[in-house]
Amino acid sequence: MTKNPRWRDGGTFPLGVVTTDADALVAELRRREQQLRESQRIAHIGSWEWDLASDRIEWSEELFRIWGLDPGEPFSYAAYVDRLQPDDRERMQKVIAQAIETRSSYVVEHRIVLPEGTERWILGRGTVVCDEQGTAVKVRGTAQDITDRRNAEERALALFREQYERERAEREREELRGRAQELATLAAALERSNRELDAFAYAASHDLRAPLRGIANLAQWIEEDLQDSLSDDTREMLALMRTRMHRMESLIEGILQYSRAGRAHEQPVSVDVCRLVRETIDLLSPESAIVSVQVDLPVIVAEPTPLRQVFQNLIGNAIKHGGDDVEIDIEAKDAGAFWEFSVTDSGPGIPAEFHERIWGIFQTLEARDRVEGTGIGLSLVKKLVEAQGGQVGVTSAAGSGACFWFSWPKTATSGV
Amino acid sequence: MDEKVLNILLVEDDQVDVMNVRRAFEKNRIVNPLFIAGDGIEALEILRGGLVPAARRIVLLDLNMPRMTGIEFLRELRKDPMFMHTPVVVLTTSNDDRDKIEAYNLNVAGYLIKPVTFIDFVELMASLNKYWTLVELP
Repeated sequence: MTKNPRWRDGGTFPLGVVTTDADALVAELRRREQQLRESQRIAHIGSWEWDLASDRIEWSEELFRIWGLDPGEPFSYAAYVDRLQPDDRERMQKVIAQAIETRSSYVVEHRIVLPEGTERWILGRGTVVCDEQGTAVKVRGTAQDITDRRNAEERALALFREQYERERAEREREELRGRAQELATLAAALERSNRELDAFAYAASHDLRAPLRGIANLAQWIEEDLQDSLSDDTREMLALMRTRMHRMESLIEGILQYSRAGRAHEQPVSVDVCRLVRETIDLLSPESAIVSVQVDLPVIVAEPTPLRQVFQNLIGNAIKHGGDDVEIDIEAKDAGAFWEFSVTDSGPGIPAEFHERIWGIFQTLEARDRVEGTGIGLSLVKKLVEAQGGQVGVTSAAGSGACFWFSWPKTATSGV
Repeated sequence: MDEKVLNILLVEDDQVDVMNVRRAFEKNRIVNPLFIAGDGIEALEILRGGLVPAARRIVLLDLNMPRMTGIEFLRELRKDPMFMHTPVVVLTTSNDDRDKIEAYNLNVAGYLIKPVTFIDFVELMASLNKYWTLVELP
C-alpha cells in the first residue's frame, strides 16, 4: 500500500479549458464524461466513490459492466463485500479497513463472483479522502478486470509446473534405471563369486584327498609291517589316527557335496517320494531305530539327487542323535505350491538357543569324539532346499524330540 | 595257467601311490616287472630309450602330474608310430567327465579311479593284472 498525499474534498477541479457560457460548459462536460466512459471501457477499468457517512458507493458504467451488473443504483459496502469471492472477503475487508484507519491508499488483486457464477480477477486500487480536520470521509478507487492476465499467468505457471514435474519424473526414472543396473551388476558379480567359491571348494577338497589317502595307506602299512612289535599304546594311537583320517575324509566329502549343491543340476523326473525315502532308510540301515513312513507320500517332479540328499541327512541325523530305539516319523503336508515334508524323532531334542546355529556349516552340538559328525549335513540340507526355492526349519525343545521340516516345490522350476 | 610276463610302466608322481601299487602287487604275489616314471616326460624317455621290453607292454597312467600331465603324455604317445597301439590304462583320482572323454579320445584301454581303501586297491590291481595276463597283445 502506498501512502499518497491526502486528497482534500471540496478543492477546485482543474478542467484545463476556458468556458464562456453555461451551455458550452455543459457540452464540454458531456464530451469529457463521454471520453472518460470510452477510455474506461477500452481499458476495462471502472471507477467508484464510497461515501463513508452515508455508506453509498457510486459506480461508473464500466464498473457495472465488469461486475456483470446492469448500471443502476449505488451500492452499499455490505452489498460490495457480498460480491467478492468468499475466500477473498476477509482479506479485502482488512485491506480497506486499514487504508481508512491510516488514511492511505491500497493496491490489491482479488476475485469477484459474477451474478451467473463465474469468477473474475480484479486489480483494485483505492485511496482515502479526508476532510480539513483529517477525518476520512470518502474512499475513491478504480477496479480493473485483469482476468485475462491472471489466466495467462496461471496457464504459464501450470505449464511450467508440468514441465518441471515431467523433468523431475524423468530424472527419477533415470536414477532408478541406474540403480537397477548397479544392482544387476552387483548380483552378477555375487553370483560369479559364489560360483568361483564353489569351484574352489570342489578343486581344493579334491586335491586334499590325495595326500590324505597317502597318509591312510602309510599308517596301515606301518601297522602291517610292525604287526608283532607294536605296543598296545602304539596300536591305539594308530587306531585314533585312522578315525581322524576317516573324519577328514568325511569332511572333504561333505565339502564336495556342499559345493556341488550349488553347481550340479539334473533333469527333473517323476519321483515317488515314498520309494525314495524307503531306499534312503535301507541305505542308512539303522540298527535300532523304528522308522514309520506316511503311506501316501506324494509323487512329484523333481531332481532326485538333492531330494535324496536332504532326506538322507535328516533321517541320518535322527538315527545318529536319537539314541537307542529312537522313533522316527516321516510325513508330508500339502502347502500350496509346495509339499512340506517333516522328519520327526523322539530323541533328546535341541534347546531353542541352538535352532539358528545348527544350520551353519561346520556346526556340531556334540563333541566329534562322542558322535562322529562333520557339521555339514544341515547346512547342505539348507542349501539344497533353498536352491529349489523352499525353506527349512526345526521345532524342538530339550528332552522332547525334534521335528525338522522343509518345503519342496510340487513342480520343479527348470533352469534353477 | 600259462604265466605270461607283463611289462608294466607306471607313470605316477606320488611316491606313496607308487608304493601302493608295489604293495598291492606283493599282496597279490604279482611278479611282473614294474617300471616307474615320475611324469609324462620321463615316461616318454623310458619308452623311447627301450628300457621297457616291447613285448606285452602296458602303461598305467596317472593324470595329474607335474611338467607333463597324463593327457599331454597320451597326445605325444599317439603321435609316435612306435607307440600308437601301446595299451594305456588311466589310474587316477579324477572323476571329471572331461578327463574321461579326453582320455578315451586318445584310445585308452581303460579308465580306473583309485579306490579309497588299500584293500580295494589290492583287489583292483589283482583284477587288472589278471585281465592283462589273459589279453592277447600284438
